[in-house]
Amino acid sequence: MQTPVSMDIRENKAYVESVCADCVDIIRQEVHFGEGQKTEGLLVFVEVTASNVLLQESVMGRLFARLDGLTPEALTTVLKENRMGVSRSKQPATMEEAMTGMLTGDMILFVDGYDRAIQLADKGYPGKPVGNCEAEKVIRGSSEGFSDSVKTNEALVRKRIRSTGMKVLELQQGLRSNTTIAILYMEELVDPSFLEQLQNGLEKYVIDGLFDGGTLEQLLEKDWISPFPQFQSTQRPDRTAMELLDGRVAVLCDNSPTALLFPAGFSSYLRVSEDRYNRFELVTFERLLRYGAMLAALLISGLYLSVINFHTQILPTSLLLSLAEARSGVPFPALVEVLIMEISFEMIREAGVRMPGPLSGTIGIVGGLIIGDAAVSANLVSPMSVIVVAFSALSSFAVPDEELSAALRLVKYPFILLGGFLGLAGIAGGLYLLGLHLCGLESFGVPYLRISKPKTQESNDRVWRAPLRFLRYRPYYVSRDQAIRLREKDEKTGGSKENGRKNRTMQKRSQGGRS
Amino acid sequence: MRREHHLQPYTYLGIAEGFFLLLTSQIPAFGGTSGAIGVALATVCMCVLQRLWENRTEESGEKARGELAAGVMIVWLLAVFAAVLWLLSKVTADWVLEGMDWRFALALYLFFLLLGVGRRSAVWRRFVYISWKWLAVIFTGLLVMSARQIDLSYAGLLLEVDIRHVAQAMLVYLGLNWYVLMLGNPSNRGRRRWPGEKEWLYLALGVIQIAFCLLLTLVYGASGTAYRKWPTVSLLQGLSLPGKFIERLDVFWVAALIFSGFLALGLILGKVDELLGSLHLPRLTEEARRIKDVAALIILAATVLIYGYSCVEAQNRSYALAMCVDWQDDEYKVWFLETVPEGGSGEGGGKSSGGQGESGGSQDGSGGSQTVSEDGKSAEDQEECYAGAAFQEVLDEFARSNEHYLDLGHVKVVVLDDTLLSNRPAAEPFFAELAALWRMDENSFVYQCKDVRELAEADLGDSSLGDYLSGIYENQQGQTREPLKLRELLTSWENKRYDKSIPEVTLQAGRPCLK
Repeated sequence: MQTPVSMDIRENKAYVESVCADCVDIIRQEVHFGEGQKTEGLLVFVEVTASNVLLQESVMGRLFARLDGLTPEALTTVLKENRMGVSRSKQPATMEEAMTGMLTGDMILFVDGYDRAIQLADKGYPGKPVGNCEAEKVIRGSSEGFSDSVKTNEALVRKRIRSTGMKVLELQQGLRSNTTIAILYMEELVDPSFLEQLQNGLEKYVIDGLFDGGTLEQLLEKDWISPFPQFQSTQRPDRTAMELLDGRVAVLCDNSPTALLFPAGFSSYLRVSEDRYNRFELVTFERLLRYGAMLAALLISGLYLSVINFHTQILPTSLLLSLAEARSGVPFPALVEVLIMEISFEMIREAGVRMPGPLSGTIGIVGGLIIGDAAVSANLVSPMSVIVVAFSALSSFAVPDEELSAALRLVKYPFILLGGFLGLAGIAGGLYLLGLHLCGLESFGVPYLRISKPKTQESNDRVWRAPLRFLRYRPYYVSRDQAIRLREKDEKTGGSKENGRKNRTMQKRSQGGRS
Repeated sequence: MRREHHLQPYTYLGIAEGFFLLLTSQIPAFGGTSGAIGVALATVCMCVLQRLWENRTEESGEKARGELAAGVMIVWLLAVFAAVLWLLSKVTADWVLEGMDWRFALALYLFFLLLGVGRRSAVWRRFVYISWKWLAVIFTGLLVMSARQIDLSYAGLLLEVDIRHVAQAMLVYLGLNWYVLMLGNPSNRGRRRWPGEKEWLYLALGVIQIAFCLLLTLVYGASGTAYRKWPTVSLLQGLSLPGKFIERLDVFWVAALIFSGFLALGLILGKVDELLGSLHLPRLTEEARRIKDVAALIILAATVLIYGYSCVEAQNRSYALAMCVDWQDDEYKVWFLETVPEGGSGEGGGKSSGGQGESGGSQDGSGGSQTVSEDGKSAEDQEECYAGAAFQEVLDEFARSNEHYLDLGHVKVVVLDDTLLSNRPAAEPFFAELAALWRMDENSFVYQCKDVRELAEADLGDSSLGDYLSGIYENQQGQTREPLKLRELLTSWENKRYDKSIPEVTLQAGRPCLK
């Protein structure tokens, strides 16, 4: 049951006082304006979200100046016809709407004798300004990253796609946090079923607070047991814009600098925004490195154990003897040794992430010294294990997506156990199970591992990235009439060559028909 | 009436090949002509069953017949599943994991496969589409690399090839063959281009198999394959890469084979699941599948842990670099000129892991040891002579009297005494045992010598006999004589060709010298 905004300012005041009791940060300010300052009003706002209203530069100050001297009838007309001289305003009809508007950082003005509230945006909540994107650094391309404000983030994407074809929907999620969620998509390119599934997913749960897209991600994922992410996250507006043009949907969450993109595919986690800006040879080479790093991060420790424990014949005798001699005197079995090293590395990593900036470097040095030097000197671990674990860690850092990298770090442990206990047979079994799992994963109905189909992006933009002029197609889930992303211009018609060719064929056919 | 898809015959062939593979490779009576008849019968049988199933109508008699046919097909497929699983477990126990009981491998694989049960057929198809290209590349690479082992003198024996060996060749392509099972039942029916992708795939598989059969004969001769338990896998043993980075590749290939075997078995289960669905029999619900997965995972983990850490780690092995064999007093006398990793004998003796090859007692088997080098690394050389009526007895004798596990994967040189070579009844079983010993490197060089004992006990200073005699060939720029590899010698003897010239080595001024 909603409470309508009353014509009587006293009723509105009573409502506000009752819901905002003991909220000292919410300012309730009585104001007077109009002819002879006789019209009574109530201004409600969160303390830091508004400029000083007495200043003429502020939105509310200017509004008061405009309303000054108006008779109550004229004042009502000005408000009704929205002649306030304010670019962005809303007029909520219920008290609940008005309060929600106030809590999103706007100012609310109740006017005696007017049955609507006036919602005006001022400076809003304090937030991080648009800065460099630290999480996804690139050498070429924009360095701009998302900020904490959903509105700013929407604008950053809109700045890159200046078309009304990009639609932005906003909704509130979180029973108590009332967080704004923005859904961005290209109307012509998106598969409507994605939006439908998102809508259904959002309606499925009622949550009290939503502070980051990560919470939303976990609630919307179909296969929630899998360690592999089914949404792609990015902090880059250019990447988001690029993905929207591929028919994907972006979800922005207020107070979070991360956009969630879906549907996600395995190969999309190994792409970076730079891949479109650089030449195809370099991009292909870098992708090969990333795929190699991904495999190394996943398998290298398990393979090391397989070789050292079961399949020694693979290595040349001299190398094997070096390895064996390095292991002599180490009190732990190789499996335990590798596990200890891997867990130590994770601890160092975790400590480095959580420690304040100046100390995190120290953690690296201390960890490196203790693990890399002291442990080897004390014969607790062999130097080869240190090399293997370090290489595995280095490989996991070369995977561009942090969430995929984290998933690989987790999945690595079963491979260590399989390699240590069952050698390459165990690794083959593990790969079979992993392949089966990944083949069964879907992100919004789109398979995680996609099959190459002709005339789709999947055919030439995975490990191998074709030269840009041949990257003509969008992913296969984009409707076929919008499948072409890039086409050559026809010099005669000015349109695309393919369209020109089609027109000429049509003309010929019609001429032939006539003759 | 249901429309039969034109690809359906390939399904029959796929299943028939499974039948052919299993029966002809394991039951001698099914070799040769009877094997071919077996395939034909299997194909006809499957055609009839499939036709009964697909042509069923709602008329009660036909419906019952169709359902009965589907039931028989399910039983058939499960029987093939059991047999392929058995085959894979045997290969694993014989070839991949030293000392593993094949029954344990079978149990392990069963749990791996149990984890895959209940997936939708779309998942299996995706898995097949994604993995078959990679496996095809791996197996075709194997074919190309194996071609280096061809001995054209066996070309004349091509017509004498036993059909059983064809089945052995198919072992490698097990997974690929079974792809047809899934590809032959496309979910989207309708008009298709013929020949399409699937037909070409099947044709390519056929060509690869025929090429492989020819290759097997050209490498091992017609009767040479009969000596080997798994001739196809033995073929992989002879592969080598130029340079000294990786000594043996066979384990990788066998791991790929195990992976494709898993896939084949999974596909059979997927097909059975489809048939069960068509018969409206109860299938696993999502919840039941989840419970099954968790249970299988727990059992798998528990089985692996209970089985224990059964390998012998690299530092607890002694690596035989040369092997000298003599025949005296109706016994084989074998000297293993081995290298133990530095520090391994002193400290490693007490901590050698359990499992096959672990020494029963703690006797010091390093009598008469001296320091030699393996690529500049000091190590111990042991010149104990071990005797036995069979080679396995010699190995058992070694295991009983040494703290280290004897690793024959790095034998570079085999020196055979003239006495042994001149005594065919003694040499032939010895060679048969060597051929069955997968750990033995078949690329090692073979020499003959008049007095093996003298050579084995010669003091070569800083060098080992293995390094010395393999280095003799590697260091010659204008090489006048081709080295003889163990595989070539074994194959020629298996084909009753005793004319292979074996390089002779003599001891001159205390140093081995090629005659």
